[in-house]
Amino acid sequence: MTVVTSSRPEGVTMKEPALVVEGLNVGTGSTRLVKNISFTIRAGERVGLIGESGSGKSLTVTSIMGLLGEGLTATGSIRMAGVPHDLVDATQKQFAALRGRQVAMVFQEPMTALNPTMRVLDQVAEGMLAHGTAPGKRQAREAALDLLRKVQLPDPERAAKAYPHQMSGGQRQRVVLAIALANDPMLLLCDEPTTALDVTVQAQMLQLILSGVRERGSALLFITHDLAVVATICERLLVMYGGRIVEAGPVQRVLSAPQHPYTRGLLEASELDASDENGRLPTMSDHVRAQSVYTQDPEWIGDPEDGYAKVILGGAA
Amino acid sequence: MDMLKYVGTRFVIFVVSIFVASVVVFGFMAVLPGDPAVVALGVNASPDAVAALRAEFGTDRPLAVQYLDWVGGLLTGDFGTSYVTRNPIGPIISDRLAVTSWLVLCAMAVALVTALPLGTLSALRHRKASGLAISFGSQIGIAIPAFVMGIALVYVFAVWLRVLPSGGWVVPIQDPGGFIQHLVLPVLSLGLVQGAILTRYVRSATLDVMREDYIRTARSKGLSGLPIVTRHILRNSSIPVVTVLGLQLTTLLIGAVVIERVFVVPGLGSLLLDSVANRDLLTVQGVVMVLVLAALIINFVVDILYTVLDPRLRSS
Repeated sequence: MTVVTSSRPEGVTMKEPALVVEGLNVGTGSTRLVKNISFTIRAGERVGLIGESGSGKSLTVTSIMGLLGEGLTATGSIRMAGVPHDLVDATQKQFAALRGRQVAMVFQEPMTALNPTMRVLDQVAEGMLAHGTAPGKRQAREAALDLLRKVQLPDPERAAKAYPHQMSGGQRQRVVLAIALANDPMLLLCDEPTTALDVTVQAQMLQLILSGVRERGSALLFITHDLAVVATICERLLVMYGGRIVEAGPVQRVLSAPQHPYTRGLLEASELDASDENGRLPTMSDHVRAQSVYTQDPEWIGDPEDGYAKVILGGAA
Repeated sequence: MDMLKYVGTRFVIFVVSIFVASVVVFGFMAVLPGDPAVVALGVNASPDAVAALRAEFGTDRPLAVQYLDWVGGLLTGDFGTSYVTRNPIGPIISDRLAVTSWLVLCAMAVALVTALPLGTLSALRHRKASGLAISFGSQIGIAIPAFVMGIALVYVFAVWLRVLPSGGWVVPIQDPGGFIQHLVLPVLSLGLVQGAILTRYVRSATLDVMREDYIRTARSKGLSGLPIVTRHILRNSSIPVVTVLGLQLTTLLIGAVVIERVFVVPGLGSLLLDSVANRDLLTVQGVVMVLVLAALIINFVVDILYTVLDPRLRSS
């Protein structure tokens, strides 16, 4: 793919995109749930994806993984660096070769994400054996134990032999992260990985995710409701609303000077000491109308330089 | 330690159940009308002769003494002497039990061999024609009672094709070939119907597991197809299936009573029905106790199997 450089301001160097999503639609037969979204993630870049429940964040991420539920279909284009085919048209076999290798995922709910009848070490080693990144069972287990150390599980030798029910939620989420990082993925997808954890554990988990992607040079797409989390770990931010990306840009700029009314509402609603003259907290309805009456085609607010797929891809798409 | 406690608790429950069962079985037989001595001698027998026979049978003693005598005998494998045939009951029961065990265990094997692959396959392909076809087939199988299946099999293989005997029994050591020939039809009648039922359970257990988050995790690692089934689905789906297996083994023991009638097989079921017809109460009591004991053993083994399959039960 050709990278168009002419429109880029001087001094800004853009890396090769790791992920290019263009005109992605996800829906069931007649209903479109994700509507024509486009974005890119550059190699090693950390991107946050925020928006309310039902805005299409998880659908976007699961369609990149090829794990959409029954009856859901994706159209458009999802391209990944080093992958010759479009992920939207990929077969399950093609996805299997990709998952856990080029793209990996950390899920929201650690309590149910691990197989209750399999030892933790085997669950981590499995991904390396599936992709042949470890030459044999013994080596895969050694590498898995090393990963368990890296995610700072207390007493990793003992944890390796444990079953998931013997661990806390935070420990299990570390194991899930170890599984995701096992094959040094080019892109790590995190779907609210800290939502189910208590606050003290959240910070440690975020640090682990951050150091994990930094060490590997992996790109990160991080779904969250937590604006503070976004500010801590992301470089760029995508805001989704009603199945569309309504705003995109560098984190600091979006959070300090939001352009879209929805983003403005989101920021105001997150300030808990703000209230109007009646002592009422600001709500989203002060800023945007209900999704059903919301404009059918909200304008794109954000600089194409902030990662709008069409610009980066240029004529290649 | 937790596991020992679990197994210990199960074992205590098992032993207490056996005791309660023996009291119930004995008590039920004791309250049934009909004095064995009168039955043996006929209604015209003199009171002296009846009293003498009662003394010989030991039925003139208090019930508690009779119970302890019976249970004490059971512990050493002595089921007493039949009031009707005057033969020891123990050896007869153990011969018949061997025959019924062949039927039940082979039928269970047939059920497992058909249900595990078919049930898993129909779950994996639950949106495809092949999966629906398996579901449909198993639904039909469930609707067929074992004895109807038996009669249909006899009609096809014994009457029409004339390749297998319609009934009877051969002792395995005497004639292994003939033994297998005689085993095939009764085992299929019992096994295919149970297999159809088990297929439904395997299918729904597999579907439940397939929707679990950890299967999504396994797929997100890059696993697909058979490794997902063998490494992640089967172990987890087998936990509810084992429960059903235990129930089915018990059902098969009871089902064998009817199938042994259809195929003239000298098993425990035939013995039970014959003894009831002959008013051979002590034999009925012995057979019922053996069946109850078998059911309790099956339940106990199922409870232990859970701990093997599910690590969550092994430790806290």
